[in-house]
Amino acid sequence: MGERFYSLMFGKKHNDDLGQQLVEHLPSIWRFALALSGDPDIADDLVQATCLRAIEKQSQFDGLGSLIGWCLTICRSIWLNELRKNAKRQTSALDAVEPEKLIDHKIDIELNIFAAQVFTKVMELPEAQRAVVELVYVEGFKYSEAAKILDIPIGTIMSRLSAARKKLSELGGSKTLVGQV
Amino acid sequence: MTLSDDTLRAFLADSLSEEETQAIVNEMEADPDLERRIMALDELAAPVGSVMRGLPEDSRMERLEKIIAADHPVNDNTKPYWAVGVSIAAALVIGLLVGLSLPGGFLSLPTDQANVQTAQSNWRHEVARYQALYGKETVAHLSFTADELAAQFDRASDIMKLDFPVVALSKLPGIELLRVQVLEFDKKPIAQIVFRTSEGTPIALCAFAGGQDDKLDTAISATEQGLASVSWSGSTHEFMFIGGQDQKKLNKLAEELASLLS
Repeated sequence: MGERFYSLMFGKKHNDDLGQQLVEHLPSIWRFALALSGDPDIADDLVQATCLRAIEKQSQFDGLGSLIGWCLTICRSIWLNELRKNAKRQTSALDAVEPEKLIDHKIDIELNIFAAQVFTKVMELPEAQRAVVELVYVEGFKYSEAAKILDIPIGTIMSRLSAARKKLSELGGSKTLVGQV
Repeated sequence: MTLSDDTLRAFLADSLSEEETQAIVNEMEADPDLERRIMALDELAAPVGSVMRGLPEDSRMERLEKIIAADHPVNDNTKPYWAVGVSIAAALVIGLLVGLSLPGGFLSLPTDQANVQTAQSNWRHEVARYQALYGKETVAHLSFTADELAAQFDRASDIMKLDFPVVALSKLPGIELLRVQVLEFDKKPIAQIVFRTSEGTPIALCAFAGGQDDKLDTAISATEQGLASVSWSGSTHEFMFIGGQDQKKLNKLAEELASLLS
């Protein structure tokens, strides 16, 4: 069957799935957009731009890899090439991001306080470290997959993750953090 | 290189020398099992991940989904400069119509949104939604004797009117045959053959006696519900092989399956 078997028919036959899959991946795309921008409103705009670009460029998705990985690559490209220079400069990520507005208030109050602390600590990280934490810890990508999405060597992934871990471990020590789950 | 858990934890904590760190990074690039092992040792991943996966809040997602689904122009003055004059919703519809009207497409051009929605709700989509519920724990303890497995396949063959090459299915490289069960979609049976990879990942091969609308001109690789999948049409049945995220591995196995079941 060879090449015909792996025909790149995704663009012809499964456009109907792309829109649906984009909606299903929206939370992941948004979280990555927040990790890049540090601002939920900019994240909203970045998500919309990413979805539009994914639809425009769908013929370039070969269907052989992960759709979400492809979308996050698009998201990062838009952020770096188009949005970042125009984003309002924040002296602190906390100026734009208020944990209590983003965290689900339906969950237990104590867990909510803990969640706010973790969220704050993550958002205090520099953009480069936040992006790695988001891809590896939150979305579950392997180090090698995160390296491809961010277009950096795997060694850089590990050094950024190490630096992030040092700051995140300040949350009462990692054992306390682990104990909360 | 044999690496202890303590050494790998020190690696994660950035406590090793530069040479030792680089040696482990080099080793990890060549050994996916080592990469998985290191990831499993990172105790921060689960608590941080579980908190951050709670984002964003429901109201924000609902608003974003409405923006994407609704036909609202984006070209007003309050929008960022990079916004284009086509709403995302319109682009989605355009994308659907262009895709379906390309020469050789087997689906007829839909005349309204209702037809588009119907085309989306096919058996493959339902299989993907069902398979997405499978985790490693779901298949971790599945075990049937050879006689039990043979009886399951006899029953499935009777219902599906399809002969399954059980011996060949049990010898596919890198995956273990676990069981077959018969599900139902639109009052028609679907046979679900469940496998487990050496890493414990569930994968399923599903067979369905679909109609003309389900026929594919050629095999398709696609991500469905976050899972790698390959779909193809045989002479009498439709097939979908789905599970995990390793599309290349799935493609290779699917090629072998297609030659066994055509």
